[in-house]
Amino acid sequence: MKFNRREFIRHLAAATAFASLPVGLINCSKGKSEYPDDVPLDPNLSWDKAPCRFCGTGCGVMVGTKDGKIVAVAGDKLNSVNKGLLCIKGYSLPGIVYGEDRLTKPLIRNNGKLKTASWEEALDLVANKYKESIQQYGSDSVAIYGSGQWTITDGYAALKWFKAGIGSNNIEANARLCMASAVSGFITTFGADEPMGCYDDFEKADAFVLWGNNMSEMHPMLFTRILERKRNAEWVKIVDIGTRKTPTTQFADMYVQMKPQSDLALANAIARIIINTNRYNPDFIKANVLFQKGKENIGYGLEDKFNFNDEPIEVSFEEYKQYVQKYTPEYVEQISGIPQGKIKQLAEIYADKFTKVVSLWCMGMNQHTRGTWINNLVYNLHLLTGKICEPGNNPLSLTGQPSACGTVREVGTLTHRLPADMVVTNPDHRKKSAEIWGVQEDKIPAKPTYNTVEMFRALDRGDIKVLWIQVTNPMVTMPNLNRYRSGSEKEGRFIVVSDVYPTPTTEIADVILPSAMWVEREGFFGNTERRTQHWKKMVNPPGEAKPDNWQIVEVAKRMGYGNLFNYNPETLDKELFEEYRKFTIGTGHDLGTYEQYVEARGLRWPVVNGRETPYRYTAQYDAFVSKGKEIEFYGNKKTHKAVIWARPYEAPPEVPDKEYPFWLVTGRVLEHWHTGSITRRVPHLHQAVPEAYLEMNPDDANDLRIQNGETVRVVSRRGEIELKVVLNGKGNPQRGSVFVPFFDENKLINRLTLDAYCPISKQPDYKKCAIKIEKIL
Amino acid sequence: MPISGIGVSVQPQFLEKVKNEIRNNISGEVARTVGDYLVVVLETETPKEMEKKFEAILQLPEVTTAWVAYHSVEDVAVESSL
Repeated sequence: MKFNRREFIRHLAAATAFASLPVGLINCSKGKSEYPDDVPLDPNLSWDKAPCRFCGTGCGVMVGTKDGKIVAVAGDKLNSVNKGLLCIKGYSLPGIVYGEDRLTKPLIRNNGKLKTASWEEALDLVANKYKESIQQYGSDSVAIYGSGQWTITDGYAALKWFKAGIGSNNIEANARLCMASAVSGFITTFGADEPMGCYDDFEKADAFVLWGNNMSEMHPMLFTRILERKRNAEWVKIVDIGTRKTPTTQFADMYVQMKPQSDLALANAIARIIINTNRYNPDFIKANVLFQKGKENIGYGLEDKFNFNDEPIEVSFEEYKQYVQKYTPEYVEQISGIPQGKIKQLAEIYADKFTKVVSLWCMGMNQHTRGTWINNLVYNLHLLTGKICEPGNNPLSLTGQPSACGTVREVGTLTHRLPADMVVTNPDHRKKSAEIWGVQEDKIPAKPTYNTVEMFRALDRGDIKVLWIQVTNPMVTMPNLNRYRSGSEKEGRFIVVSDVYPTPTTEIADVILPSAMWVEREGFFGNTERRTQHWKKMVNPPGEAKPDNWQIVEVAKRMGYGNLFNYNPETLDKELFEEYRKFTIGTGHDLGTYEQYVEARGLRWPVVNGRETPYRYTAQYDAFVSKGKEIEFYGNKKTHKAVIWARPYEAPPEVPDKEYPFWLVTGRVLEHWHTGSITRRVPHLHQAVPEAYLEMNPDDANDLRIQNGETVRVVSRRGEIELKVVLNGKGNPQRGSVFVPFFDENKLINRLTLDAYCPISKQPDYKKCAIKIEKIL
Repeated sequence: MPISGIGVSVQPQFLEKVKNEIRNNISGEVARTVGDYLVVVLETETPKEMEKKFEAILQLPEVTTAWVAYHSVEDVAVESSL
């Protein structure tokens, strides 16, 4: 058969799509396949594997290059995350690197104007500013703010520079805004971060309970796996718990509409029903669980320098049972608006011992002033029933960025953390870190400094004078943005920004450094299911753009830390990774070797003797479980047990009232990734959703005489913007609530949001504040 | 000129209806039917048009889900024999 090039590509596209169909069905098909099972990729292109650049799912992508350009992508059939499937953002991967306004040269601001500079000039300036500030004001006057889009070695270089070099804990990352409650939930319940289960659960569960989670848009390939499971097993149920109907809702067997914040009460009501109907698992509880109660009325972090320390006390099962008795279906219906019958139906899914349940969540639970508590309370349901640590029965916290887990959580690029779940407050952890880094133990400060919100408050106050921001866009994402934008522009602040495109954050920069992105450089990401994935450099970055880790190493050397950063530039990623890996060995977070990741389609840690671990804490899979034990929550070093927490429902700090009668919920849309700085450069994505909008309930709109498409003024106590109203769009909020996506830098909804945060995780709540809507006359 | 290979999962009783929709209203080639799944090839002038077509498939009420398996943005305006 002879094809021209176009026909050949069409044939390949069909063959690859055929090969991506769920294997079971292909095997069931009766006719002889006209396509081979294993489709070779276009031999005229160079192909290599990479994880997708976008969300935390970590889909495997085959990247096709020709003449130094990315010209094709295919779902990677060999990657078990997505098994050859890609979502609509997969279309955009070739486009994201080729936006017309890529930053290609260092820029230095002089008298308000940006001027091109050499790397030497820019790096010298940055290093000198850091040195001067440290000399004059101390090491906590400087900071670095990174991202869950940092590669693992970017984050490791930044952490080492700050904690082993400068001797400051002033390092934070934007994952504080999206994942911190998941981290503190895991740590307080299991003593160790990250899930026990994995994506394999999607083919094993009987019920999927989505707690405030629009998976259809935010994690579409994982949701596709759930839909396939349901298609092959008719009894499978999907429950969508939320404050707003979304595209996910149309696939749900049960939609549970709740009032904002009332998930706390709902989870306690389910626990009460499980206990009172004797459907808890006493053997599992006796062997594996302790009960604890923490402080209550813990505040909201609204004041500068807010400080909170929990003081847990152990309680008995009987005391816990009494604690949840308050949460009767009647009482919880009053708080949540959920009919009692639905509460009982939902409880039945968890209580029925034959139903395997996967609970899923993302920002709905994490961006919450009681984010740690609601994470704890959902774990309670799995621990009470013993529905945990086995295929198809697990809680699974989803992530939003490609390496929120691999970099921020595992490397530990947060003020209080060190690699592999270690913390600066623990002298043994500081000792181990100092030994690996070859520095004095007292170099690493024992006290955490600023969480993200407090870091920008410190910048506003002038306590922090020099800040380097890499791979993130806080001038779009910070809550109560007006304060933090004006704070960062005050006299005497020096801001460095590394990015790939101009953003509102580069607007405040004194120095802009052009970054290489994704396959323009080598890298590692770590996804939701503990899978670490490696990719090679495939194309050159534009102009003089350089990887973020290279930038950090060069500045560190100029500051006199050359002994800590004595790496060969040709093997920088390998050397940084192998050094970071030392922290993980023997901890239960064990990573494989560099070479293993170069070969594999990712490996889920702990990697022991070259083998990954799909399920943790269970003897069948996890080499760290002690002999003779079936389940062991070894993250809690003293007890080796998990904790069921007595946590109450508490109202959020700002609720609608007569003056500001609506809840404001912010979030993402399918077409744009986070602040849109990449996806808005891809013309078809930008044109699909060109601007932010206000989604409201048609009945509320009718009451206010507002028409679909009308522009209204949206006002909170902190700011106001104008937005077009969308009625009956993709989503539909409940009455009294509106939704606004945050991707649009021209319509900054975070000017209105509140900078309240969970006192334990320090993660802000972007899902609840009060606003009013005014017609523009 | 973007060319994409798409997998489409369809409610079984509506297979023929969806195939007709894709062929007649979305100008996609239904390359193969396997069980309740369709293999569809889309070719468009621009990425925007591709996005619209993919979205149109996803929006069909009888479609459970759809995914991209292959996407080429190679310039094949000048066709050459292999």
